Amino acid sequence: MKHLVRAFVVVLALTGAVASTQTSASASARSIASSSMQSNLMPIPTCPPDGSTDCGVCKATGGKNCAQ
Amino acid sequence: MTFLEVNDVLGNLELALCLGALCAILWSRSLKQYGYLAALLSGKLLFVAAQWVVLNRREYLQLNARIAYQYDFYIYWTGFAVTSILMLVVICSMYRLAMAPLKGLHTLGMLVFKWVAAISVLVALGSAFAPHITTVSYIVAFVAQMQRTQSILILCLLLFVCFAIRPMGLSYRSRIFGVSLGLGVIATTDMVQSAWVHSVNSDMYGIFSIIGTGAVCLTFATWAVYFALPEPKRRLITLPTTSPFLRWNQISEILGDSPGHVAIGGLPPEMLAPAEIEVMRRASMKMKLSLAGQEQSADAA
Repeated sequence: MKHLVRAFVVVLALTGAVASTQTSASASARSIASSSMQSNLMPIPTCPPDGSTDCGVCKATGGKNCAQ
Repeated sequence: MTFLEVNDVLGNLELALCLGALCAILWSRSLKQYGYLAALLSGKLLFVAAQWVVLNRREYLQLNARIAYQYDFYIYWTGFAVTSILMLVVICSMYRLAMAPLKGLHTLGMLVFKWVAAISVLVALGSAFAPHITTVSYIVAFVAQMQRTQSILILCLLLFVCFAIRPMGLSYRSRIFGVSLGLGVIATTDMVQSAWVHSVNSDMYGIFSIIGTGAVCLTFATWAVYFALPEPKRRLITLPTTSPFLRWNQISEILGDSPGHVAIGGLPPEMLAPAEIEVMRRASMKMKLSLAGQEQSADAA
C-alpha cells in the first residue's frame, strides 16, 4: 500500500515536470491560463471586454435580447 | 451520448462533489483547521453560480449580450485570481499543519516559501513582458506563469508530505495527506492541460476537458471521503538521535536568535554595578589571603 501510494505520487510529480518542460518550450508562442478550479461548464472569456463584441454569448444563450 | 452531454454531466457532477466536499468539512467540524480549503471550495461554487446567472438568466436581469459578456469576463477572471491566491494559501496552511510539531523546520520552511513566492512573482512579471504587448495579453501571460509556479509548488509539497509522512507522525489516512494528494492531482492536470493546449489543435482540447473535469471530480470525491471518515490520531513522534530531521530542526530553532556578547578588554570600573565591584573586591582579597597563607606554609616548611 505504502509503495503504491508513493509510486502514484512520483508518477504525478514526473508527469507535472515533463508537462512543465513542454509548456515552457512553447510558452513564447501562445499563453494559456486555464485552471481546473474553474468549472468547464462555463466558457473561458478570452475576447476583450470593451463592449465591441459579445464573444458568442448571444448565440450560446438562445439568441434572445441580443440588442447590439 | 454526445461529447457536449458528457461534458455537461461531468460539470454538474463536479459542482455536486464540490458541495459534498464542503459539507463533509463542515460535518467533520474541522473548519478551523481547514478553513482555507473550505473558502476555496466556496469561492469556486460562488463564482460559477455568478457566471451561470449572468449568462443564462440575463433576460431576467435585463442585460443584453455584450453587457452580459462584460460582466462574465470580470467575474471569470476575478474568480481565477481569487481561487489561485486561495490555492497558494491552502498550500501554506497544509505545510503549517504538517510541520506543526517541528517548530524549527516550520519557521525555516515558511522563510524559504516567502522567498520563492517573491522571486516567482518577479520572474513572472518579467517573463510575461514582450514588446508591443497589450494589457490583457500581459495579464494572461502573467497569470499563466504564476499558475505554473503554483503547480510546481503544490507538487513539491505533495512529494515532501508523502516521503516525510512518518517523521511527522502522520499516516496516509491523515487529512493533510488527502488534501495534498487532491491538490497534486489538480496541479498535474493543470500542467498537462497547458502543455496539451500548446501542442494540439483545439478539437483535441475538447477531449482533454473531459479528462480534466474527471480528475477534478476524483479530487473532490477524495476530499469528501477523507473528511467524512474519522481521522487517525497523530502518532507520538519519536526520532533517532541521529535523525537529520531532528538535527535540522535543532539548527533551525537556533537560527535567527540574537547572540550573546562578551567583553574582551578595556572595561572601565564605572560600567560595573556596585554589587559587582564589591564581589570582585572580595574575590581579590580572598585570592591575596590564600596566596599569603601558601607563602607562610612554604616558609614554615
